[in-house]
Amino acid sequence: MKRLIAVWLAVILVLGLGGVAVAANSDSHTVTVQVSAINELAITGGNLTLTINSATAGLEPDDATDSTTCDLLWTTNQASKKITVATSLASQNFTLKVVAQNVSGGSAASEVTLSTTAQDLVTAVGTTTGSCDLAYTASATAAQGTGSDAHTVTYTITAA
Amino acid sequence: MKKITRFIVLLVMFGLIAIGERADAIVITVSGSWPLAIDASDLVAGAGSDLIGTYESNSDQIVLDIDVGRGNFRVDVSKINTYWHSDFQLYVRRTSDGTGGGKISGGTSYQEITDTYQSFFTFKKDRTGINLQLKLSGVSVQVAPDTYTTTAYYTIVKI
Repeated sequence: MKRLIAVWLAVILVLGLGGVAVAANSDSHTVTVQVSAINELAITGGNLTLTINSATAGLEPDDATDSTTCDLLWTTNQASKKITVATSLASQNFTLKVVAQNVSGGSAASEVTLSTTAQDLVTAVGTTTGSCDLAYTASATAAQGTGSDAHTVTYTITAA
Repeated sequence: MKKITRFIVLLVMFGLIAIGERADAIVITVSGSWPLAIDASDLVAGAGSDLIGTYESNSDQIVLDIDVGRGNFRVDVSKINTYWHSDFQLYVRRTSDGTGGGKISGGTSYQEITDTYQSFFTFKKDRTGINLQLKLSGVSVQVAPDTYTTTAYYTIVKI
């Protein structure tokens, strides 16, 4: 009889403690925010044609310039970035240069003579939005004659 | 025989204690979580623009079930950050009353979840299916890429 009572006692205790164990006046959930690396860059203004068609007698042809057609926009949330520029045209008849003007969100590098090797255009790009005007200068010498160069110019946001 | 009587009395006492514990049990169950992924598609207008600053979860992102019996109760809310950005602000609001008896009131406007408990809403009886919506603000490109996690705690207080 005692044994039976003891068994029942144990069962009730377990059930009772179980009731206490499941009682919880607090519960929770998580909020997880995953921010991916963002390095976006875009050119506005479309394609640009520079025409060299004037000269002062006795001097080389005048440069053709444009600093209003194309802008560069970027957004990055990663530190230590820069923007480089390169052309697809390995063999060029004439010289094409570019420099970033009115830069926000970075520092302008010196004017670049375009080649197939990537060169710095904007340095010290911060974790911010940024923009600049793209100022192109095409130049030719009289000895280079006539013709045309078609560049595909690529801007890249990359690790500094 | 006396011993047997003593055992029976003890048995009844423990039984009553067990039942009492069950009757007083206050249980809140939180279902759901909010995983939020932010990438370049969240830029307001592509390159040159910032990220959307504020995000809202579904209106039933989190569901609360409350088992209290009856009385006057309050749910308080707070959070504990695992790894959180100081620019972030997390808000919560109640978007449904759920089902159950008694009155439920408060908590229908967004309130910030801080690191200390704050009153969220009050209620009187058991309720199930109380929907909660979350909002995150303070997102920008100033926030470095990483995974940020916090845990929101909901606690029932008898008032």
